[in-house]
Formats: sequence, structure tokens, C-alpha cells
Amino acid sequence: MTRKPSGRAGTDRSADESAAANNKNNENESSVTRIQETPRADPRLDPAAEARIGRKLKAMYDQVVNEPVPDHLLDLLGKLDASSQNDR
Amino acid sequence: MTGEPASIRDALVEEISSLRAFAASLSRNMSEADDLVQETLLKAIKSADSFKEGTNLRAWLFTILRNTFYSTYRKRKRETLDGDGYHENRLVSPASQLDYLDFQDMRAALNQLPFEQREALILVGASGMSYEEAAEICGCALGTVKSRVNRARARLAELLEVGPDEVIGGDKITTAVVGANAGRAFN
Repeated sequence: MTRKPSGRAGTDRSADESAAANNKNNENESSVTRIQETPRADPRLDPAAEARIGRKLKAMYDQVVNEPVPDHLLDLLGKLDASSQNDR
Repeated sequence: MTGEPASIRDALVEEISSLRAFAASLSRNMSEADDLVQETLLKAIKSADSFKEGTNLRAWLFTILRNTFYSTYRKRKRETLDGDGYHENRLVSPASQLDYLDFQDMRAALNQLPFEQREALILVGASGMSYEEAAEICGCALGTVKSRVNRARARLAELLEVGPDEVIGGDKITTAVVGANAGRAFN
């Protein structure tokens, strides 16, 4: 590889093409074409990778959503209800 | 008088789970996240008058939580930017042990993102907020949120998908492309 490792968005394309060329021998012809055709002004992800990351992120987030709410947080709101009575 | 206190309280109870998830994504561990949620709930109750009936309660609460985090918690965080601490107090059911390991990667990768990118991605990509809502919560322009989310996604892909034993069926191209760009990710 004669390519410089440094690079900004503008060089992404050539890096991609190089990577794509390396993979030409694999059977993923359609993927290669798709990636080459993607303009890369902004960092753009392969839709499959984006979906994968999105799922993982959501799953991680939902894990907390689905946890039982700690009692002390519920108590906090309940206590305000009865704050004038001050019973506990 | 907009809304009786009782109904606000009921609505708040419904939002605690979401608040915890958002707080967890900002905090280093769950006990800190719960402190943040607690503070958010107290502030929300105190300023319930400023909530406009019929607007998005969750977005309003997320804004309070985020501002609270920024004003009090974030400074503290710099001291322990390690990221490992997150799991110490983590509640994980044995059934989700595999997910847990999976999430550890995600957590570590998220921690490497600039904070603004991380919160934008969590809001849009996980909490289900629209770009518009995320922009409001973060106090920035719509285009800024979009750009942050895009950059966050790209960076996560770099961080998560070039790992040595991350073999993804039928997706060698992505790995190769990401690999070609990975060098500059750590500049």
C-alpha cells in the first residue's frame, strides 16, 4: 500500500476503493458496488452496520428501561403525597 | 393552575424507567444514575408549573436531567473517566449475561465518544426521541444533532466492528472499509 495513513473525509473514498478492491476476489460483488457508489462527504455507514449498531444500542438502553424501578425512587414520589403527614 | 399535582405525580412515575435509562447512558454507574434521576424528579416536581400541559413530558424531563447532569455531575466524572466503574453497581439478571458482555463493548465504545455525540446518539438512536426533540433537549440546532448522530454512528462502527474476534457473517467489506479508516480514529 502506498497510501498515507492520515486522511480526511476526502481520502475516505480512495481508502474504500482500495479496501473494496482487496475484496473483489470475495463473492461480495454487490456490496462492493454499493459502497463505491456511496458519496462520502459525511461519515456514512454501511446500512447493515448501522442497523446492527442501532439494535445493540437500543437493546442496551431497553435493558435499563425494563429493570424494576428502585423502591426509593417510587417512595420519593409517594412521600411527597403524604409529606404533610410525615409518617414513616 | 395547570394540572393537579396528583396527575403530574402519576405521569412522573411512568417516566422513571426512561429517565433511568437516559441517566445510565450519561453516568458511570447505576447508583449515580439513580441519584441523577432522583434529583431530576425533585426538580420536576418543584417546577411542575413550568411544564406546559399537552407538551412532551418525557422531553421536558430529559432536559431537566441533562441540565442537572451538566451542572453537577459531569465535572465529577472527569476524575473517573475510566468507564469500568459502570458495571460495578450494575443490576444484571443472570439470564442476560451474554447481553451483558455484549453491552460491555458498547459501553466502552460509547465512553470513547465525545460527550455531545454520545448524548445525541442515545436520544435519537435509543430513547426514540425525534431529531427535533433531541435538538431541544441538547439546546442545539437540528443540523448539529444530525451531524453528531452521524459521526457517533460512524465512530461506533469503527470501534465495535474491527475487533479481532468480531466476525460478522457476510460483511467482510464493512470490516475492511472500517479497518482502512481505523488508523485515524485515534488521532
